[in-house]
Amino acid sequence: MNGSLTFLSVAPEIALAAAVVLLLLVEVTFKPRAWAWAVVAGAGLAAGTALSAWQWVAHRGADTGTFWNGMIAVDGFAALAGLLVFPLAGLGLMSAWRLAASQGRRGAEFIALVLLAAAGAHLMAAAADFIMLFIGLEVFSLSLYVLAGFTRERVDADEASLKYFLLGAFASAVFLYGVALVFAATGSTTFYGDGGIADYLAGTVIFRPGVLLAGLALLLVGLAFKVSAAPFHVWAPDVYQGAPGGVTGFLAAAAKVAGFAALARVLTAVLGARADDWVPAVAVLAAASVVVGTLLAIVQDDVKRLLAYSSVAHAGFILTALVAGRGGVGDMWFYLATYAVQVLGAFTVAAAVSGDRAGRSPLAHWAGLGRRAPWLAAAMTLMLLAMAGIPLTAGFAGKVAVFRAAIDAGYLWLVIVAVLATVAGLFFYLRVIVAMYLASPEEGASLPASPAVGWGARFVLAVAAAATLVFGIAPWPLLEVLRDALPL
Amino acid sequence: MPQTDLSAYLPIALMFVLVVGFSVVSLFLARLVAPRHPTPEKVEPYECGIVPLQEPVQRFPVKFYLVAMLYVIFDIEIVFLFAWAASFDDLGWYGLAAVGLFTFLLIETLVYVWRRGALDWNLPRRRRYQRAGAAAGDAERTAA
Amino acid sequence: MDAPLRAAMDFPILSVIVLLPAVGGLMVLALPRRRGELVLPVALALSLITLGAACWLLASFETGVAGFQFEEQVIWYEPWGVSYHLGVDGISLLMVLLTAFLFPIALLASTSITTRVRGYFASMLFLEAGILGVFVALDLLVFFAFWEVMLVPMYFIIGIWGGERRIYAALKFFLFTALGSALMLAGILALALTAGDQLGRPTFDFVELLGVDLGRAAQFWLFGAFALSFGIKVPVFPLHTWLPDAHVEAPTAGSVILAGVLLKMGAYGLIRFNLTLFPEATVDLVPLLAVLAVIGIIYGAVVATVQKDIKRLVAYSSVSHLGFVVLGIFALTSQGLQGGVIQMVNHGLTTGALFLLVGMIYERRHTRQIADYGGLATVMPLFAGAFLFVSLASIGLPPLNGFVGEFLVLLGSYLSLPGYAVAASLGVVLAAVYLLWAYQRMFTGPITVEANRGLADLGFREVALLAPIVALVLFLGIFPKPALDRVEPAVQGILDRIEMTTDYQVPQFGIEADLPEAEARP
Repeated sequence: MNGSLTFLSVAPEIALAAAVVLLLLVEVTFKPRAWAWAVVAGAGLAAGTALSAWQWVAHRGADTGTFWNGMIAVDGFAALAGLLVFPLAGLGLMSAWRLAASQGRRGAEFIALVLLAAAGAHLMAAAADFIMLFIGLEVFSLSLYVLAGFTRERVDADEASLKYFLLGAFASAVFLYGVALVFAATGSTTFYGDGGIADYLAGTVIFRPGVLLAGLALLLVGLAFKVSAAPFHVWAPDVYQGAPGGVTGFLAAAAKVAGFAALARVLTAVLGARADDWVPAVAVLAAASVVVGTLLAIVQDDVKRLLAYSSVAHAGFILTALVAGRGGVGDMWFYLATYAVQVLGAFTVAAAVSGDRAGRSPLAHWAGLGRRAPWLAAAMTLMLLAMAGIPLTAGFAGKVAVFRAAIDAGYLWLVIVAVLATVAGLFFYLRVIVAMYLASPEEGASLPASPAVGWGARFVLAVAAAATLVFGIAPWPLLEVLRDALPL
Repeated sequence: MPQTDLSAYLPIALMFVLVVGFSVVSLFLARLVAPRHPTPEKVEPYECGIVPLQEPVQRFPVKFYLVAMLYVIFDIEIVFLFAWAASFDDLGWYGLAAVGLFTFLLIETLVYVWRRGALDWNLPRRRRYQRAGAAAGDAERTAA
Repeated sequence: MDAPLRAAMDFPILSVIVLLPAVGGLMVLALPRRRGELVLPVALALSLITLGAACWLLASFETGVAGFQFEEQVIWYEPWGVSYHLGVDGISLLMVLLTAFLFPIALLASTSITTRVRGYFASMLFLEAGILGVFVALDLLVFFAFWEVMLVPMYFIIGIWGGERRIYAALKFFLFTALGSALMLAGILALALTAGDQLGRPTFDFVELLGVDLGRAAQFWLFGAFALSFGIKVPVFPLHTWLPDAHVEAPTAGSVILAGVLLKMGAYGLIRFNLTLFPEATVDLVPLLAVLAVIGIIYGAVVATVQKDIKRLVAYSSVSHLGFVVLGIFALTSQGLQGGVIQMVNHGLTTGALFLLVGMIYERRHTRQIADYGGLATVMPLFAGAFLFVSLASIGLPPLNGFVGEFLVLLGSYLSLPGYAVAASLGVVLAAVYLLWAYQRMFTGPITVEANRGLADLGFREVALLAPIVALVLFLGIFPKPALDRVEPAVQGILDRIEMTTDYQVPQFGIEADLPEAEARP
């Protein structure tokens, strides 16, 4: 393998880690003002993005491979994950900037955690070995556990953090057990190369696949937890609702991106030879997520909780793309990228409406928002319509993409379940819109003071709205690009 | 490759069985063989006869946990250093650089923790490390 | 073809027609808040320019030619087979004209809107753009995008500027329509991919899909998916329950557009897609659709008769009238289809006018109960005259336009479905009952409620709103030939395709009808 690439293969992670070290050292040494944090974090994320872009341009095609004894893959898949996760982390920081700045000296830790989470997420996408994948998963998850309880001023935030930690640790253990069983069946934890899992599965007829299938099932469960697919979603509503408003957006968006990146590589590239075994399971998970997420979202009275259940449903839509196997990876990325931006935008609005430290965001807070803050309401409406899949928004293009992939793979029943859930989903998205535009605030209801929107949040909302509209009206260039974002 | 020769693990398995077996056997044997004549004095926690005033399980100050956690970090470092030292000649400069980087990251952590006042046991003095305003809530939370 | 004409044909007139209202909507939104008085003129100007463009389209449309004209096609995304493909034939031409004609009137009728004026007029213009897009799109995915996106402005129009139960009505409208269209989306995707199996690449292009041979079973499923969506929109009998709520709660202009144009989208979809793409399923399902149509005609008329609320009465009359349209479509005869299309236009004009009239009286008295009126003819003779005129057109009295449509529908369906035609003619009688009875209760006799004594008759603006509709009603009633000439080739093309792909024979006068259903008759 090309030796000069060895360090460049993990260059994005190095850039992020260096930024974290620098940030913390500068913080304790000089105790600078908040803008210095922004400079360091921005430099780290920009470097990570640029390095991912370089990887994309130079190595998405043929001369890609694995490095560090098959631990890290450099391919279009990993590069795209970087191109998505690092800017997303940047947007997440902007969205949460007021929260971070209000935390005094701990703000630097907040930013460091976001950067570490981004590095972990990219590692999950770039890992070419289950051990490395697990390390990425843990770096990513641990950062998010802390972020979920960062403000530590409300019991439910502590509860959210603890719940997230306990269930997340449990899921990590399940995942690890799956890794062990797959290792037992195939004799390797490495994905590619001679003697790697993909190689072994492609070349060997396994007469007693019990251990392998059990391992596969446990891997699926562990990762399904991370992406909050039903029936492994129970943590999501409490965590999304309990976590500080400013954090939830990044938490929701990044968890989806990282989890699905890992899932897609493991399923399509590593276990591609066993597609007949996992595709039905993924289809069932997808259908369950879509139905459960939608039905439970309908009865919610809290917008953050509602968005949490809707994210369960969206996990189902994204899984729908994966039943098409390798052919659906590009569609999955499209949905994932656009959804991540939408959910970040929606939670940014929620943080503005109910406060960026607050956990709950009851519908009453949203009453008459169309009058109090027309721009916020308009942005939220756009995000909700996109999530509902109304045409001319990126959400519609994404839904068409994943449905098309699933029908192509012969899963028409899944698509019919999904479109019916889409309709039911309109009901709760419209409830929020009704509250914002059609309802007036109840008499005597204590509304939060007029929504405060920082410049960072404004930027995030502008970017989210622009991306949602542009990729809704002309999704083709992005879809074309994403066809290259395949794992090795 | 997949068909690993498990016989290499046999000594370890034997050792495992031996250890478990020995401890179980000796515990049970002691119970069976030892004479037992309980009197009220004998079942007291302290043989000298002092009546215990409080439950033996107590709450530790949170700072002990902090120290314990920091200790774990350095303990892990020792694990790595041992492995590195054992194959120092093979790894050469590359190994030195890698361990140097690793150690640097640990020291950086230590510096951060130190400058944030986590190593200072004296609560009022720790406040010096923090800026006014945010510091108050911060210290409360740390103390809680 | 000479050079200027070809240049004219190359001009993307359809894109312009679709984009003009959307641009207008953006312009309205961009107006500064304090220049509220500019909103209506700007919106009206853009919709009038759109109408002008539509008229230009009418003028340069080649009569007597089958197939699509003014086609524009840009490949959007090769791997999916999506292209931005627009085009009109005689049927869509009439729909475009109807839409472009009704919108300026609806906008001008919206002067009573005082809250969030910019949002309202922008919504109306976006709605117009969406509806026009539906009528000219020839790519199924583009069609679906327009179909679905148009729901959003309509939802807001009902939900924000509607009556008392507006939130409920808006939600019901949205969910009903979305339920149907969601299944249609699955159907469209399945259709495109089935086509992909045959052509070697998927395609959403309507014209290309015509060449695809679908299996019989696939045709039935896809017919169902499409027909459910269109049937909800029309609405066909058991799917109509959203309609009275939406019509009653919508603001006047919203009702005009709902009844005048939106419902036509469903019927248009049935003709454009169900009949041509799934001919076998169509022929086999004729009895089912015809039964539902006749039930709709009679049920709508009976329920309209017993309404106490005049707006609800008009809403239910729509169910009945659209039943005629569906019956005409599924008669699968040239006369029936032509009648169905003409009836779509007629219903758009007359029911639009009826909603306008109801809105005018509501603005004066703020009640829609028939019992609150009585003897209005003495204080508002002009209004009473207009109401009677439009009612008679709606009933189908010659020489007004309603007559042409209903007559053709009954004629056409008598050829292929004689029993249904007889039953449907009962609907004509009932139409006379409910409309004339309502007229009698509201306008004739002495004034029963004192509050009505001081009502002012129609003002200049209101007359100006009604005059174009009245003129068109008369024109189409006396001289429907221009419209029929443009519809005829398109209809013939559809029937030819059905005859070609199935063993169905379009019955002609003097030739024995050859329907499975007819054979079963002893």
